[in-house]
Amino acid sequence: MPIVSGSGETRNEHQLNKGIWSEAGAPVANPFNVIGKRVPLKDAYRKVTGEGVYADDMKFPGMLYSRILRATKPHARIKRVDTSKAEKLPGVRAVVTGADASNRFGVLPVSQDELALARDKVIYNGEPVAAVAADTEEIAAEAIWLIDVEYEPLQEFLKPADSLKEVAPELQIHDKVEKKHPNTNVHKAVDQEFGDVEGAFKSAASIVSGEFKFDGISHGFTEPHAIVAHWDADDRLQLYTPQQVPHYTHRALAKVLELPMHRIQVIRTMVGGGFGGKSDPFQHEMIASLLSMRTRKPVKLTMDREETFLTGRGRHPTEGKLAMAFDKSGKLLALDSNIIIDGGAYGSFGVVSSYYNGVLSNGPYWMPSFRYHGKRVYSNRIPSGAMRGHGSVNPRYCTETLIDMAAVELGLDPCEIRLRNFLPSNTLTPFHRFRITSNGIREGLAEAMKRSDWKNKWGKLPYGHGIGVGCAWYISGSALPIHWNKLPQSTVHLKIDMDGGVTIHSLAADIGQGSDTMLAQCVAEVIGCSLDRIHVKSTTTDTAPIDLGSYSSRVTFMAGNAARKAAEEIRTRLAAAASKLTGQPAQYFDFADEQIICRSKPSIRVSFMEALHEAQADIGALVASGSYQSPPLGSEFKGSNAGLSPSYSFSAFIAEVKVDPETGFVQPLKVWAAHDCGRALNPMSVEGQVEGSVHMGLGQALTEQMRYRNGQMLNANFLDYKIPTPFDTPEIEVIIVESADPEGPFGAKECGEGALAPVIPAIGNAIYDAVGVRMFEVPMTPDRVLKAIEAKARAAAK
Amino acid sequence: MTMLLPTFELHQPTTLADAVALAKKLGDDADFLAGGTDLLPNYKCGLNARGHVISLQHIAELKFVGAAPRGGPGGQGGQGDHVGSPLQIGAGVTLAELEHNTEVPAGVRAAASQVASPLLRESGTLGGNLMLDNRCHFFNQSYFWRNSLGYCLKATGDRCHVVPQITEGGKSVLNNKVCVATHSSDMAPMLIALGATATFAGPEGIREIKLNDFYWGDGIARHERKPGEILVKVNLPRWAQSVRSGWKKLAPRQSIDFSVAGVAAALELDGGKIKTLRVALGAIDTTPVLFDFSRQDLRKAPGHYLHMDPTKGMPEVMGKTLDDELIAVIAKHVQTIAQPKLNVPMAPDYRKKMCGVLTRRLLTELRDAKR
Repeated sequence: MPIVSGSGETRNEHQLNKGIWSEAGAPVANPFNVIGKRVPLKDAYRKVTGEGVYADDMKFPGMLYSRILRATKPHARIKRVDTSKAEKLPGVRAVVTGADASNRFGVLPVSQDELALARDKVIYNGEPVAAVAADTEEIAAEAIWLIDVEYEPLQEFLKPADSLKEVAPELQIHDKVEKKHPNTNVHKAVDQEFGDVEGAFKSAASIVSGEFKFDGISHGFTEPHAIVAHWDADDRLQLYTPQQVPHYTHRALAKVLELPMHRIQVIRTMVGGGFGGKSDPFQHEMIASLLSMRTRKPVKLTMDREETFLTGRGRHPTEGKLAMAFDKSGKLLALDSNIIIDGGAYGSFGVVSSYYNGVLSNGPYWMPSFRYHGKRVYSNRIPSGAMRGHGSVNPRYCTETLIDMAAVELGLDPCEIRLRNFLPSNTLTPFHRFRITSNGIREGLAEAMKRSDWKNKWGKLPYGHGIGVGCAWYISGSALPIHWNKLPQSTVHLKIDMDGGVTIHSLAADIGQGSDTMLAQCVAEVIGCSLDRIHVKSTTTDTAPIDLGSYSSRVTFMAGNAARKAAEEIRTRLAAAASKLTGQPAQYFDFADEQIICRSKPSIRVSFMEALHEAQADIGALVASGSYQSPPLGSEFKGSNAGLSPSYSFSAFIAEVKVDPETGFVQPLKVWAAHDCGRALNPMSVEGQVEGSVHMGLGQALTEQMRYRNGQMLNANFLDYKIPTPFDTPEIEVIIVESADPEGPFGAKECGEGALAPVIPAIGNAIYDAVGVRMFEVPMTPDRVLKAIEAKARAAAK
Repeated sequence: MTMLLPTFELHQPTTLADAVALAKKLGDDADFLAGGTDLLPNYKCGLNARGHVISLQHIAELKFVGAAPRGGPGGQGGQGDHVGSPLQIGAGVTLAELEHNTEVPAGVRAAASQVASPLLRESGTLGGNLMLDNRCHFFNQSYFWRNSLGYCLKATGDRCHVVPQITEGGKSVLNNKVCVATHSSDMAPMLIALGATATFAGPEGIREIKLNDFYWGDGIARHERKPGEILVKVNLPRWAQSVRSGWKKLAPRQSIDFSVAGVAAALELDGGKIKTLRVALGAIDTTPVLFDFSRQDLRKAPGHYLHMDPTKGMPEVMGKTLDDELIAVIAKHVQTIAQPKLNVPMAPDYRKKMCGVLTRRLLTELRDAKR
């Protein structure tokens, strides 16, 4: 099966992406020198040669190894924990339990509901109960099973329906629940209604509705959780961790360990994939730190795959009942959405997820009226959290399926009905006042239709062969920080000394998405130097100014802008130096190819190094700082902050599939993936992100599901958790739509998350085109597809 | 919850005789290892690990396809019509080698080419696949996992989590006897359909047994290998080279996965009429299940299979024209008899249905194949 990789070398010339401008609809020349070029990621060589250092590669003198004993009950009171036998095992240096840390933490200030180790009760099968540090991994592994824990089982909440019920306070999984639903296990409820929803449904020409169900899924990142904590000789904690968000871990460590933040340094190690699964502050980070503080030795903690699944934070299992109303021209009138998401044991990012599951349905279409009742429940299952496309992916499948149903009912082409409803560029959505800047979704869909030969395929392919469309949008960075304060969301420092090396300091976490390269490109473009001068130091909290990290697709937009601003400050000083050297006015210089060039007389120029040394006279190294803070945005009502972003990405995907009507197997043949990422700073990297999103979306669409027996995950390994293999992955044609955003750095918007959501409905809708059945359960496994085909046949026979 | 490999002593004999002697000396506390792709993951999960592992990787006598090497056990022992069979496959031959070997029947190549993944087939051997341990959701789990739900019959436990109750003397009682773990080998059903025998070398000498008779019993017993015996080779009858043979595998993904159902068939046609037809199911019961429509290779004892009797209601097909209608009858019979359990991925009722679909497709393909 042909697979198009992210490398330009494997593509034919006609497949290479040529950016298109949404406004003009035609390719334009790239006006930049470094921006817009296909640049290999800065850490690529280290990764492919094995030189990259992950936390599990680290070795320190005297290092100890840790193992965690995990709960073997979904919900139970802890009657007794006896660690004495484990402590006596030769080689065991320390044992910690819930008694050793009492402060609760969590990524959101409103959901501080996690403990380093369970104290009075365990609330999911797999929750850490005790941990050991020992001389070897083998001793630690043996020691944890010498810890004796006595449990008294409590009623288990394993289905959302059970969590909604009123229960006695002692059965509540957490003390604090949603105020509107006291005495339940409802974590958060969001109720929003705007416009005349009832009226819209009454006047509608077409009403479509469906009850949807989604299994929970996991990020499936390659590197299992692995960290090293070291309480060092200076009485400071050094935590080496592959964190997407070192700053929130920094805060949580301070709270749990009761240390001032400056006594802790968080060092981000190379991240072997995150996708949202490494963005919470974690129990294992607290546990290794506690063990290191106890022993004064470095403590390594590496999880196996099962523990990584148990640590969780994947996409919420979701149940939704949604209805949409359209007029006879196919214009969308209303969305009525009822969604319950299973949060599992902890709050995590769940309050945000609760909002996103509703409010992010206010695009990419103009929504004249909108109602959303969303609930997130606690349960005794693996904690859910943020995963690529956070909160938007499952409801997107629902609405994209419903729009397709409406198109059929109204006799419209599914692409046409979408084109009639897309949000325009440069507008505000009616209720939440989401600020839409550039929007290339029309051009994207048009291009995907053209390349896929949609008009000759949709509704015209033989039985068992179909084509479908799905569209989406996504935030380009959450405009509101999780911790409310006046600090900027991103700050970047630059330092250039006489050696001519340019050092970028930032805490934006490169988790494989290429943010280090992005920062380097932004700076190189502004000061006109070559990329190999630039060194990015983005790992350590001691030297990096705070950045809120890699979540909500915020890094390119926010840290990129901060880097650009810092570089502009340097450029001003280099221009002044060039002016002094040439006698030309400072404002008339261009910066490119290591030269500072007089605009009116290009023959007058100085080299980067000459200008640099002149600028450094008397002051030494040049240093500069730039920062980014989202502008004021949005409405005034309570909860109106959720979903606000300075900009939004848009995507339009078309998928072609074959469905075997006798086995229910779905074979994706090709995906045309048009994504509007604003200016593509590095097209190769954009292609990689979009291809990765398609592959990941494909997994959720067809094969991936977290399966449980009671509260215990049945398939916590990569043999039984079915991530698509290369053989299951179709050809992916990435179509980069470049719509210059007025605020993004050089016009850029996000591309790491928004491209996931449209894959799933595009496949679902292609299945409908192939065999005439609507899939209301995801993943669309062969048995589910076959059941739907058989039910349709039975209904037809009646 | 560790995935550390437990400690064992590794032995690496270079001759079959040395391996047999070692196994005899070490007794119950030893396992054989060929490619290791099945045994070692189970060891990491702490599943029935033993103190000694005897590697078969360096024994040249196990690595051949075609006539047995001179002086080897294939040349001396054996019985019946397989003596000197030109089609013998050493147990140490890798699945990747088989996949590309044009001397072996098409069905054998097809089955080998669909085991696990390209990388694993470079290590995995024919012998290893034939001796594959049975699989079950409640067995193939970590030490932590089993601590939570409790252990099962196949791993030091006292009950089956798949079939918790059985009927005994008219009463429903706890199932503390019968393990229903699934036999997931792809090569075994294919070779059984082709009428293969297996040659073992053990402390008692060399013996040859029909593969169909070899697999027997529940998910723990699985087969009749005697203590210390090493699978040396499989022998195919002469007709296996001339019949039409093929394999259809059901698995969630196109690579990596174990079968959750598989159909093997060997078909001999005479002017469009069935002369021989043997169909075997994989990954449906605790052993491969043979449907010998020729009725020559019936199990030696009734009730040999744990849950199903392929002869029950078996349609009479010999000498009949293999038209679509007859194929449908055969497929329906296979589907009716199949009784998968909820212990591997994909629902049992779905897998049962697929046994029919795959049988029909396979027989149609074999019938229509240009020869």
